[in-house]
Amino acid sequence: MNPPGAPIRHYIELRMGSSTFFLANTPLLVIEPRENMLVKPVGLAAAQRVVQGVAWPAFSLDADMEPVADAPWTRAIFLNTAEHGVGILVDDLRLVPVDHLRVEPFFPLGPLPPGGEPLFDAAAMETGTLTLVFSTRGLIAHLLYEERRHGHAQ
Amino acid sequence: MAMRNDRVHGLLLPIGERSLLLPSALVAEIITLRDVVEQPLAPPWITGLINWRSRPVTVCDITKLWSEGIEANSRSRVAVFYPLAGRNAGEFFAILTSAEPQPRVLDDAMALMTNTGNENPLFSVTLVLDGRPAAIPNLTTIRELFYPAKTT
Repeated sequence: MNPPGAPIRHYIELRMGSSTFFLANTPLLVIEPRENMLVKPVGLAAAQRVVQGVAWPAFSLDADMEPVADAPWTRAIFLNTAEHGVGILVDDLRLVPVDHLRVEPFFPLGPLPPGGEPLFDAAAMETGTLTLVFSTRGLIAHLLYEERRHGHAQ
Repeated sequence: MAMRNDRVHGLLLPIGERSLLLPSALVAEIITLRDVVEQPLAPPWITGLINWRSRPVTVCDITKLWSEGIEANSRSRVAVFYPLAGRNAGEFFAILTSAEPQPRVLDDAMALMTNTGNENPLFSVTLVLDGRPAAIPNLTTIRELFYPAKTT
């Protein structure tokens, strides 16, 4: 599920290792190139961005969505939360207009992941296959869960 | 499952050493297993998602709830089910099978004669058909597994 507000005009195609996902491009997002980041691991966050004296952690995630320290990345995508931003590190990204994709929702079966929100609740349908679309709320919840789990301190 | 003397058109879905016996009307299509996309952070009994008729459909290997699971190979099939009672019209789901499902026509007397003890909450009845163990799934329990109260 994505936050209410202006209609989505683009999805961001994210490449993380061998995985590709989509994320709705909303006003909650800030994209930072690697050179604007403080590449200093804290907890299992691989890098940080300091905003008005507050550290925003950014995580590299493997195919199982577990934080890893040494994955290659070129950009960070931060999602604003009530307290501070949390970010995901990606190898590459590109903007895809919404009318270039057919995104269909689905109801994730089974118990919720530890973050308490479904991580994916839609998929971009392609010929014979599909690409998962992050739920913005679910991704924020997962990154905040990883931050709490690993005791990241500001 | 049936009133006395009723005949039920069923499907036997092989899932490892056992088969699921269910009304054919629950199943929308049997397809080959291909292009399954893994869903990170999903429970282990979810194999992934497929593109079925331009819909994302979750494929489940329910045998992982009591065993190592089905070893997917060229004989494996995917049974796409219509949405469970009370769910939205688009909420199809799928169950991975270890071989091609087989049609069966049954009556209730046949089932009663072969009923065996059942301790698995996912099954309403366990029985023996053609010398092999089979089970009628408990759709209420499966619904609770798929849609725990906090997620609905």
